[in-house]
Amino acid sequence: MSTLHAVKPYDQVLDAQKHYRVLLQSTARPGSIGQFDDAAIEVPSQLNRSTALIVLTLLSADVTYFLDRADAAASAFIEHETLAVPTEADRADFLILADPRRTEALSRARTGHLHFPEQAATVIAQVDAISPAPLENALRLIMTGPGIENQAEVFVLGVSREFFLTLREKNAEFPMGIDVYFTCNSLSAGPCVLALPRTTCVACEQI
Amino acid sequence: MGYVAVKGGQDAIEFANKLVDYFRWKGRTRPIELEQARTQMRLAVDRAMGEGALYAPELAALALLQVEGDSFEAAFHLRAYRATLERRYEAELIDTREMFVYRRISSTFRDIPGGQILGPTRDYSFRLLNPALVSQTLGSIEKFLDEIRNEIDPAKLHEVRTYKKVVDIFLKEGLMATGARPGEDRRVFDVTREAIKFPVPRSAVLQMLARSETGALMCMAYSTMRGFGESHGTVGELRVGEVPVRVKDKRGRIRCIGRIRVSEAEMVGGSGRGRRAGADANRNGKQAAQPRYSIGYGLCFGHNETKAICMGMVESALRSPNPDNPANNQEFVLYHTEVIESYGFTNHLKLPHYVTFQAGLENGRREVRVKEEQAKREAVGAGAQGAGND
Amino acid sequence: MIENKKYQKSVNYAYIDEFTKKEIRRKTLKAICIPGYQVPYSSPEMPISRGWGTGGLHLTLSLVGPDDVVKVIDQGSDASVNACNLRAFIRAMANCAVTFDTAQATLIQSRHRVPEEILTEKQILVLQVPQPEVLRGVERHEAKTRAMHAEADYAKIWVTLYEAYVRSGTLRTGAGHPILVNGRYVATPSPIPSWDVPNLSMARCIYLFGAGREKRIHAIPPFTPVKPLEFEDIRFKVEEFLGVKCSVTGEAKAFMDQLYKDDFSRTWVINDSNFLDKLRSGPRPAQKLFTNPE
Repeated sequence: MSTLHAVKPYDQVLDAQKHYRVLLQSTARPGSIGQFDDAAIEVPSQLNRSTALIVLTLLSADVTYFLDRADAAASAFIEHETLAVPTEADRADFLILADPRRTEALSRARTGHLHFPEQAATVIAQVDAISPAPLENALRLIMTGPGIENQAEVFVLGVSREFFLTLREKNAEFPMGIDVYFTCNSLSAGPCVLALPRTTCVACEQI
Repeated sequence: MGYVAVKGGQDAIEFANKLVDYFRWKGRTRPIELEQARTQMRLAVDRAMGEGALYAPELAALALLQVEGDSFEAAFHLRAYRATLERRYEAELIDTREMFVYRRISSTFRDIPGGQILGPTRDYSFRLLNPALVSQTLGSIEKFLDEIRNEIDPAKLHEVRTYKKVVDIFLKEGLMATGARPGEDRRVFDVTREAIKFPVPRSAVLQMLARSETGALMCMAYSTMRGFGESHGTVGELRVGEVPVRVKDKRGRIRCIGRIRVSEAEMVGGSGRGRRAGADANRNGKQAAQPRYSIGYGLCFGHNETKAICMGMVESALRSPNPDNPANNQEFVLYHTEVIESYGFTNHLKLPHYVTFQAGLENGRREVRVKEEQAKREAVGAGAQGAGND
Repeated sequence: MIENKKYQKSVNYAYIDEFTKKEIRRKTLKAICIPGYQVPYSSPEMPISRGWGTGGLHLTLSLVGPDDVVKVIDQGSDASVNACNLRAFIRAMANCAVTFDTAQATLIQSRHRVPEEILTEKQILVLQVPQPEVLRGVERHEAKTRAMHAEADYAKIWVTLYEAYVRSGTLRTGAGHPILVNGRYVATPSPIPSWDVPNLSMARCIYLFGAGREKRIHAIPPFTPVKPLEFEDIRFKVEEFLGVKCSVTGEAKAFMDQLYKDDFSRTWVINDSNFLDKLRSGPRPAQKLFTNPE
């Protein structure tokens, strides 16, 4: 959709606002796939465009982040554009996982405190594809919980079952837990996001 | 009458704004110049800067003129303006030993190194209304300034210097309770960036007290002197003067960006409150008999001695939490001395509350209905019983 | 002398600077992830008084874009003076469209009422909240109420409800009946009448609650179960307005305002001004009506 018309330069105010609305709707309606209107920015190869747009929307000088497989270009991008401060996985406000098949960083992410559950980390996990229709070799996710009328079904390619087992452990003691955004570049739809707030119950199976 | 279309809210606001201006100008007096307000209402300007949390004397003067002298509204305007400004730098730590002192006194000792300097104060004047003030002219003002200039002895000017602190006496004699308490949060907090959570770290307490409403803070401090708190301290040192402000530029060089006028009070607290004094003594290996004093610290923008002194007293009180005394209760003090929040919320009662009231009315009516039905049922029951007994 | 260059020539889009907007946005997202939990946030000062809607404004201004259509109501009315003021401010700051028509709005900021007309997935309702801490009436201290929420220790508020029943025969007197959100956090729905509370559960729209003075945001996502606190044998009830009809439309089944005429006699009018306008000119818009249990 967005790749069909000329892509305008990124507007720090108006694009951030539009992208935030997409994030808000995705978080409020887990199982729906959010689509960002793309903008002309140079994104380092380690990050997909959706991750980059989320970083530009949410990160700033008063947050910390962790990038798995530290990459000079990606770190430079994040720090230059947002002034966010790099730190360890167990202390970061935002974890950006380029390879969510590995769950080590995820298992260390902050889950907040009983008195301040919002102090938990937000995880951005990059995947190959997110689709409402079946994809070969993808994981089929059945989701229930706040924001979902009955249940939602989504297919995700590029993440392991271990990810969801680790996630379930992290979210076992609600209100503590972590909130996850899956991101991917889609040829037809542009940058996409799928939210899994800690309130969402996910059952997954390999198809 | 029937239903009246509640349109015209916008018109009402416009007319209200016009009427405010009308009330300002209908006396047909000469507009007050900004410089007049800034220089001749100096203390009002300083108080507005402190409560508005923005050091900007001209803007504070403008705010006061704009709101016809209402101190709450003036502080409000400055806060709202402040919230729109970009934060480019954080200042380097200010050392008030560098202060160019206008006024500097201590009640704790009769004489102090450097001497007591009374400076500009009304403390020892008679509070008599002075109509002669209205007949001042620019000519008489010039004459007065000339007289003062003539009294300055240029030969003695080189003696003007910065002053050491009275608190240094305590440090030198080992009388000061020093060191943080175990587990004390020593972070520099910014309440304008982060909502406070209790217990609040000391830096946030000081920041909130520095921004607090002078009268509300005075109320808290006064309460500690009248039995709603432990015994008050004495003024170890009160200073009013100008301090330089420095920032680090992009290349890491320290630059001075100007001077601000501040009032600083160091209140000397009661000597060791039992356990704490003993603990301090034991930690330092000195004899338990050595008294230890703590300092309640107050600092605010401009010349506002009442606020600095009361801030020191309240800051000291807050370090000994005690739910029985309002001034020893962090939540009570910090929430209720915040000028913009208390001004806004008390005045918000003027907003329409008729739905809330209606909901209450409906509940009240249902309550009456329920009681009536209950009474009826009981009457019927009693009647039936009566009939059964016949 | 004050020279022009001392003043900023223009104001940020939607008034709030981008750094602060990001912080508010991050906190709002966390609020959605923890339904009913009050998230502390920076709550910057606004040119409008605390207690007059700064929290609602923070949310609206962090959400709004030039494509939005914004509706602002106070006590159900678009034309109320404070609603006019807020709407004019938002429009000037965000360069967006404004409307009185509930169905046309994408963003609605409201003080103390939920619109009668059902809201859809295209809409976000921002409610202004004077006191976000539902437990404040039973516990003065923030540190303690935070602990009570952490441990889901809501005994004190249940006791208050029971005492209200014993005193008056009803569960509550007034607006803002406490709600249990997603089976975990007890929250305030803001001082809306009980009439409006059933709208919050399993809704299609997003509900956001902004308390500027107290610096808290909480949220109810769509399709989230929300139960007003009640006992098995003492049930939650909405206002009844028995035998009452709107004097303008002749209709009932909406929250009513009581008006006093010059001769001290009383009439009733439907409170939601846009709903009343629609009833006068067309079919009744869809509502979610609640039947009181026996």
